[in-house]
Amino acid sequence: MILYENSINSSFDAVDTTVTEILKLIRNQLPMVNAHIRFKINFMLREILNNAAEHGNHLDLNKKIDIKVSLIHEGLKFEVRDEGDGFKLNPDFHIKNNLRERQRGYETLSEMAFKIEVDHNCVKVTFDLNMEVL
Amino acid sequence: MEKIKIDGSIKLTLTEGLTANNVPKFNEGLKELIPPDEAFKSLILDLGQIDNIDSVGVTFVISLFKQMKNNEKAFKVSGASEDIISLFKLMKLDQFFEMID
Repeated sequence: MILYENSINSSFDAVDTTVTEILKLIRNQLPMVNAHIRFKINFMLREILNNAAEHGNHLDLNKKIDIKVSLIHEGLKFEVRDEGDGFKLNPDFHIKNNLRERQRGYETLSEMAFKIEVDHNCVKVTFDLNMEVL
Repeated sequence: MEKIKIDGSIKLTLTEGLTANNVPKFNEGLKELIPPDEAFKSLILDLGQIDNIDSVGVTFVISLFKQMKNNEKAFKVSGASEDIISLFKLMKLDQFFEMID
């Protein structure tokens, strides 16, 4: 079941507005998603949307970011597509230096128990609502 | 961003989300609130009013920590929510700076 679908501008302000909308929707429609999980979803959504805006679309306001949030059997699925050339996620990333300012985001999402798949210029993230995390 | 100075310690309170859309404003605010010639011993970053954070915001905190370390000043984070503390611990940032109530 699709909970949210939108196409937004490639700006950090648009990301902020969109994440706020999605979090409000989740709070109202999915009471089983508690405040701690909403915090993680908030961080995750900002990470993948900011990356799509900055690295995918280079903050070009003529380029759009498509986002879809679905309720699936396992939990929640988030799909974000930009108009960039795409990228590959290195499955062997590790935190070697915690003060490094790049790559930290996806590493952290993985440690927060989000499952991340990258298909060209589309990032798919699933979160198992049945799994206890942190 | 609001500033209070007590006994050589500066407390900066963030009043908007620590997120990519706000970080440029925070960096500008820092230049005005803490001029290069200001004398102080420690900086406390108060996150008590913050619910939203992203990795750009985390980078802002790390950058502040590095600036303070380079200038031999103490740096602490105060008032952070349980979730933000957990996030910083997950990112192993608690080994670099102290988090207080």
